[in-house]
Amino acid sequence: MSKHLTKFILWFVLLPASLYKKFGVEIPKLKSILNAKLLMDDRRVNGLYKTKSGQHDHNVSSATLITMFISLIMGAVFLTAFTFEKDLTCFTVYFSFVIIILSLFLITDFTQVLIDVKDNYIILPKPIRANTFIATRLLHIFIHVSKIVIPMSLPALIMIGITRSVWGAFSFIPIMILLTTFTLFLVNAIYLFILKIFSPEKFKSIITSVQIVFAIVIYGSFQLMPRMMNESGLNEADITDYTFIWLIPSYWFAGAWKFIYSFTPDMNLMICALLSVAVPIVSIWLVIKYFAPAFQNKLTLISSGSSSKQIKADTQDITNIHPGYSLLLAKIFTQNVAERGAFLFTWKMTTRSRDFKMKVYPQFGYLIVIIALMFYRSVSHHSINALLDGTADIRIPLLTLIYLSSFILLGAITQLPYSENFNASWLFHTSPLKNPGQIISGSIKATIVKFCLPIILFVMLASISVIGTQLIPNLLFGFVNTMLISSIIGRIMMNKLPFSSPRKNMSEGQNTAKGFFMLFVFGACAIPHYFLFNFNWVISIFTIISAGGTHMVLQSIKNISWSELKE
Amino acid sequence: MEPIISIKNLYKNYGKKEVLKGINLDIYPGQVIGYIGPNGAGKSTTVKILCGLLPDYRGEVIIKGLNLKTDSIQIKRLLGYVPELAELYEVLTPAEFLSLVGDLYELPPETTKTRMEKILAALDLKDNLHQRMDTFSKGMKQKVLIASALIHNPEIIILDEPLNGLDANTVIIIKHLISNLAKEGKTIFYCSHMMDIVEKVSEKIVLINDGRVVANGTFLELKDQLGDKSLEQMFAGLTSGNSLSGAAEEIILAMNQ
Repeated sequence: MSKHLTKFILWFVLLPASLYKKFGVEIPKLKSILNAKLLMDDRRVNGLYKTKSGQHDHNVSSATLITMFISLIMGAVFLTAFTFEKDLTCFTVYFSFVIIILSLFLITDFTQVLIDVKDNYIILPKPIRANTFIATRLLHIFIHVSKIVIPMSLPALIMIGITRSVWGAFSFIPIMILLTTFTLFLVNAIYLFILKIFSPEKFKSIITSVQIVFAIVIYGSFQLMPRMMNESGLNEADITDYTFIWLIPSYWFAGAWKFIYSFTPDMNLMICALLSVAVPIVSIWLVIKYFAPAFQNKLTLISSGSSSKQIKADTQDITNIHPGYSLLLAKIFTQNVAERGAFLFTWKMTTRSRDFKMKVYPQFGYLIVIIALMFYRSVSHHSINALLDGTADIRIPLLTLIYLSSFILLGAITQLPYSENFNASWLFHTSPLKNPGQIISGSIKATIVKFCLPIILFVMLASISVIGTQLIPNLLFGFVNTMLISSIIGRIMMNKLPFSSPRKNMSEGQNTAKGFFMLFVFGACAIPHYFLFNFNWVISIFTIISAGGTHMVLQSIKNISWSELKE
Repeated sequence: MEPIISIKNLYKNYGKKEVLKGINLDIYPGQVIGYIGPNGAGKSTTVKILCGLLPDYRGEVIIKGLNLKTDSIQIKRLLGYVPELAELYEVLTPAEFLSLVGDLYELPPETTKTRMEKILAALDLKDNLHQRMDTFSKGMKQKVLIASALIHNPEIIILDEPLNGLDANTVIIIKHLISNLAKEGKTIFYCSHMMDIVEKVSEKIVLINDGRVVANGTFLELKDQLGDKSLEQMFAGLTSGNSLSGAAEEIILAMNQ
């Protein structure tokens, strides 16, 4: 299927071949380079998709179709903008969605797909004319962007055709083209900005962060946008009431569309139309003239790695290998040198490994979205006052909040054994440790301290200051239970050393089994807690029992032997 | 004298494929052994077995009187290992990586710190101590790995292609290091296919091919047995059936077609 698509795209972009020839482009070379690029695109996983599934880069062969499908879905979500009644408001919102999501899409795979620095070593040394090379780049960018933009704008196109008119849909097309051009410029500008401010080393991790934000924004918009649109009286809003709207580019494009659609000789609309033609043209010129060359230079720097020489020699004192508090925490929570080493190692790896961050951090974001959603709902159902004066039942919201943090940990702990750098784990196997359990327990403790403790402290302080100290026994019990759940999860899931395995797809069955098990442990702690909520003495006794249990489980993790490890 | 490493009838399979077909070898303390063989001969497999990375072998490996099957933890304490490819956790800095290594060998943190600082200074990496290794060249990573193999002052040092990616000056440092370590009484198991260096650094050369030892002795002994040839020629004679220059000729022919 995707093979035919590639063939069709190639055929399509080569239709004006005789025109290209006039510019000195060598058509056979153009064709074979583009063919190779499209093949590679098809086997590359998009940033968003990567965070969502455990799919390994190696066996993807129809990434194009997946990308197009995701764009289509996104385009359908954007339709929520059409609940606004005023044309200008509705289109401004729609175009804002497009600009934001398209930029995120492009930022995440710009370096990988569009400006491949390997070209410098592979294509440029070959006998190929500069014009041919430029043509392949431009066409490749054109194809890549079209793959995203066409499916993305399709739902709106149909929507406009139905709710406005066929002419309205027609006038939407040129506006989308201008908008896309503008977004390309924007992405270029963002990239150059990032490169200007941060060192090339930092660059990659910034891109990772952007990818994480991207995943969360998309997830959040799926969850929140339709609800908010339906429930509030927002749909009658008119953004033309505000003058600052002129600062928002999507407004210009909305005005331009309205101008073509309605042919009203309105001064504002005419200015909009003018801006939305002029700005993209100026920005293309800027990109070609200034941005692209600067860009290429910087990117070459990133991948060559030669830039490490430019970093000034570190004068840092040798005593500070581990920045202050991580060492302190390690000393508090671990009992011997090996466990402490593993604690510090995990502490750093979870911050720095792009791979781990890509997998785990979006989950935190999803959780924040879910919490926001719950809060949004409970606010609309109860009044906050009822919660404050104790007349409303706070058990369910509070317990959910407490036990949700163990879900965060589940995400982090299940990703702990995996790394792109897994080969480096020979280190653990050659070390003279009696039990690898010390490493595993150090690693699990680091994860708990790092990802669970801050939430616990935050929820505790927040709920004590809002509702009062009478919650302390319940909060303590909840959090000791969270620790217990986390260590049980750790004991069962971690049969591998940290960061020691290549990522594999988990089978559907394993996932379900895991989910059920989680629910079981979660229920076993949360349900009794719900019924015992008002008996402070009983709660206190159970807190001690639960703490003892946590200690035992952590000890048993320490005793995991080499033979219990799974390869 | 007791051999420090004694390998008897060592067999190892990967699935159905037999990689080691009965290796027998005695190595004495303070010796520098050059362990050579073509790609796929079983060099790295032997090394991995010695380091305790592949526990499911057949045969007997005794290191300093300890059986590798039963006392692998004690044995690991005696060994320093430089793996073949520069595999390390690249998002860490050398200081962080080496302190992890030190912790795994249960060294006092102070000792780790002083040793790593001095070793890396000697290897000209003092200025890079606190930089993440993802920007390092292959040679720089290799230096960190060498440091990680020495930091716990092991008695036996196993080097698997340690000179990969190192520049000429560093190669000289490593060569001196190997002979000084040997003077200190350390045993060195040097695994490589770079003949010229093996010829220079090793006292004893063990040549393996297809999972078997095909030659074993000092360079002079080998010359006596195999005729007055360079190590490269001996190697070619023992490990390659057909003529190697023939391959080059075929390539030239193909290019002219």
